[in-house]
Amino acid sequence: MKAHHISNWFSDRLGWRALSSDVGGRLVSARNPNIYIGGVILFLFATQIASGVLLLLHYQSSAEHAFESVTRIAGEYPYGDLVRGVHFWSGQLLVGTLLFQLVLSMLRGSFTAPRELVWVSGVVITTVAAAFAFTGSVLPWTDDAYAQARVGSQMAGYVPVIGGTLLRLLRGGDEITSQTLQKVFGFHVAVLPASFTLLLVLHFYTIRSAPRVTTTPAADGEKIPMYPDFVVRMAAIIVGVLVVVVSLATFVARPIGNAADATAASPASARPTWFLLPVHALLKSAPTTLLGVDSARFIGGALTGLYLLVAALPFVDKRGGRVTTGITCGALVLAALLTIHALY
Amino acid sequence: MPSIRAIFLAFSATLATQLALAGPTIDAGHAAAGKSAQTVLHSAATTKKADEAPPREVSEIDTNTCATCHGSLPETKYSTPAKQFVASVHADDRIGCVGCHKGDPRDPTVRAHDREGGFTPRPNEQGIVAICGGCHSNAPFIRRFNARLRTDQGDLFPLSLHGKLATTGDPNAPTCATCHGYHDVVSVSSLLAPTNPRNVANLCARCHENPELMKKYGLPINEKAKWQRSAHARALLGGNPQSPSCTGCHGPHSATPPRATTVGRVCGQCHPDQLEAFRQSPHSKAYRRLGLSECVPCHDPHEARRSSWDINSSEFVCNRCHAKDTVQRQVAAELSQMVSTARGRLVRAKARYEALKAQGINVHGAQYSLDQLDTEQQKLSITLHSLNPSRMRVPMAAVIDAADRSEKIIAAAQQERQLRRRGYYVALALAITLLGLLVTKAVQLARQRSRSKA
Repeated sequence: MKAHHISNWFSDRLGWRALSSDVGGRLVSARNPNIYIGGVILFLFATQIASGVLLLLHYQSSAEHAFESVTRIAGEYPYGDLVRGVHFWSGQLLVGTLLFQLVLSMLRGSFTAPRELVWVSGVVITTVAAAFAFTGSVLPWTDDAYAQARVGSQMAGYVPVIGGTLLRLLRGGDEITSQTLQKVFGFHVAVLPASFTLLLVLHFYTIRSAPRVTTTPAADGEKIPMYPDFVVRMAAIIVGVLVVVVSLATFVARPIGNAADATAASPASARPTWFLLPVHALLKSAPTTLLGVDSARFIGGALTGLYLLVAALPFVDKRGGRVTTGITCGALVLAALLTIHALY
Repeated sequence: MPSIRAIFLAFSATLATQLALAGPTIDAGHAAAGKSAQTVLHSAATTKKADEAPPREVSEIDTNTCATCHGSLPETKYSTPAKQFVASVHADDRIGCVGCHKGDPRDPTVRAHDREGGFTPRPNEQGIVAICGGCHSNAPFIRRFNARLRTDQGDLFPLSLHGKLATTGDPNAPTCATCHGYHDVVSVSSLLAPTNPRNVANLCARCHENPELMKKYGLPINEKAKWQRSAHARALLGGNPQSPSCTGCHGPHSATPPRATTVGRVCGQCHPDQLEAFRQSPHSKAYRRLGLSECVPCHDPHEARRSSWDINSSEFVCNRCHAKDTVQRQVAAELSQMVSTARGRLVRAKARYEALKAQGINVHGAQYSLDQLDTEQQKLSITLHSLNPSRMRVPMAAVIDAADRSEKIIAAAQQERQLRRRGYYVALALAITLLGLLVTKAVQLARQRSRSKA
C-alpha cells in the first residue's frame, strides 16, 4: 500500500479533507496583531504543559523534599535544568505576552461591543497566568520562595472583603506552613491549568461567535487564507519564540538558592515576581495610614477597584475612546516608574 | 521615716492575717526557738547526716514576704533588690530573701530586721562566699532544684587566683556575686547571664581590660582583644557552643592560668588528635627540655588560630624559631609544600563547585565528596603536628584522592554542560534554517497573492 493510500484511508475516516477545506480555506486579517499574539500564547501554554508534565514526574510537593527534588531535577536528571529553564521562561513570556495583549487591546479600543466577553475572558486568563507564575515561584521551597509565599499571600490578604479568605486559602491556614506548599502545588498543577484551558476555549469561542465588526479599514484590509499563508507565518513566529525561550533557558543562570528556613527572617531585599513590583513599591513607600485607613488595605482596595474597572471596561467605556487610551498610557508610565522604584 | 513606718504597719496587718491562715503549717518548735527556717537549713547542711536528712524546706513560709513589702517601697535602694530577686533564678520560696540575709520574715516589723537574730543587710565578700557555698556545696539540697548543677564551686574557688586573693582580703578580688550578680542571678545557660559563654569575655574584661587594676597585679590587658580575633571566638559566636571563651580554658571557678606544662592538656581536651601527633614530633622533647609549653610557641593561646604555612610569608610559623638555611628549614619547606598543595586542591575544587552552582547547576554528589575532601584535609592538618614528612604521605595521598574524586564529578558536570552547549548551537542552526525557509515561503506566498490580485 502506498503512502497516499494510507493518508487517504485516514482522511476518509477522520474527515480531514472537510476540515482542511473548511478551516484551511478560512480567511484571516493579515494585519490583526491579536491573532498572531493568540497563536504565541497558545504555543507558550502548550510548552508550559509539556515542560510542566516533565517536571511533575520528578517534583515532590512535601516541604521536606521539595527543595531537594528541585536540586535533583537541575543536577541529576538529563536535561533537567533545560526543562526547568524552559518552563520558567515560557511562563514568564506567557504572562508578559498576555499583559502586552491586554494593554494593546486597551490602546486599540478593541474591547468594545460585541467583544465584551472576549475582553472579560482575556482579563481573567491574564489573572490566571499571573497566579501560575506566583504559585510556580513558591514550589522550589527555597528561602526566596518562602519569602515570595509570605509577601504574595500577604498582598492577597489586602483585597477587600474576600482578602482574609483568600489569604487563608493560599496559605492553607493563617501562617505559611507545609500546608501552604501543598495548596500552592495543587493550584499550580490542577486548578489553574484546568481553569486556563477552559478560559482559553471560552475566549476563542467568543472570538469566533462574536458578530464581525470592522473597527478600522487597516485592520480589515488584507485577508489571507488560514492555510498555507497564515500557518507559515505563525510557524515562523513560533520558531522565533522557541529560539528565544531555549536561549534564555540555556544562557541565563538561575541559581536555585538555599532551602527555606522558616526560622530565618526574610531578607530585606525580598521582592515579589516582576509584574507585582509596582504594587510592592506602592506598599513599601506608602505612609502607615491613608485617609485614616491602614495604607496596605487602602492600596489593596484601590487596586481591587482598578482591576474590576479594567475587567468591566467594555461596559464603562462603550466606544473605546481616547480617554481610555490616555489613562492606559499614564498608568503604563506610572507602573514603569514604580517598578524602577521597587528595583533601586 | 514616718512614711515607711506607715507602710510597714499596713503590711504587717495583712501579713498577720496571712500568717494566721498559714499558721498550722509553721513548725511551732522552731518558731519558738526564734530560729528562722533558713538557719535550720544551714545547720542541716553542715550536719554529717545531710544525705539521710535533707535540709528543711523554707516553703513552710508560704510566700517570700520580704519581697512583698520591699518590692513596693518607694526607695529604689530597698525596692530594686526585691524586684531583681523576683526575676532571678533564686526566686523560689524554698530560698527567699532569708536564704542569704536571714532574719525572720514572719515578723516583718521587728524580728525580720533584728541583727541580733542574725539579719545581715550587707554581707561582706567573704560572707557572700560562705552564704553561696551554704547551698551550692550541699549536693542533696541542690539536687532538688537542678540535678545537673555542679556542687564543687566551693572547693574550686579557694584554689583559684581569685579565691586566694579574696582570702588575703584584697578588695579587688572577685567573689561569687562579682561575676554572677547579687539579686539578679540568672542561670549560666541564659543568654541574659553575664556568665553565659557568649558574654563571659565581656564580664572578665570588666577587670582584665582595666589598665590601672591590672598594673597592680602585673597582668596584661589584651587577652580579650586577642581572643576576639581567634578561631575560638569566631566559632563560638558563629554558633558552636563547644568553642571556648575565657572560662572554656581557665575554668570558671578555678580561674588559674594553665602553666607551660599543662597548657597542652587544656588544648588537648578538645584537640586530642593534634596533641597526640605533636607528642610524636621532634618538638615535643625539645620543648620539654627548654621548658616551653606544647602548643603556645606556634599558636598564641588567646589569639588561637591556624598558623601560616606559607613559606614566602613573613608570618610563616617556622620563621619564629628556625633561621634560614638550616636542616629544619628543609623539612619545613617540604611540609609547607604539602600543606599548600592540599589547601590549593581544596580551594580549587570548592571554587569550581561554587562557580557551577552560581550558574544554577547543582552537581549531584559534589557536596558530599567536597565534605569528604574537607575531612581528609583536616586529618592532614592533624598529622602536620607530628612535623614528620614521612607520616604525612598517607593522609596527603587521601587528600589528593578525595580532591581527584570531587574534581572528577565536577568536571563531568562541566563537560556535560559544554556538550549541551554544543547541542544547543546545532539546534539553533537548524532552527534558524527552518526560520529562514518559513520566512522565504511566507514572502513567496504574499508575492503570489499580490500578483494574482493584480
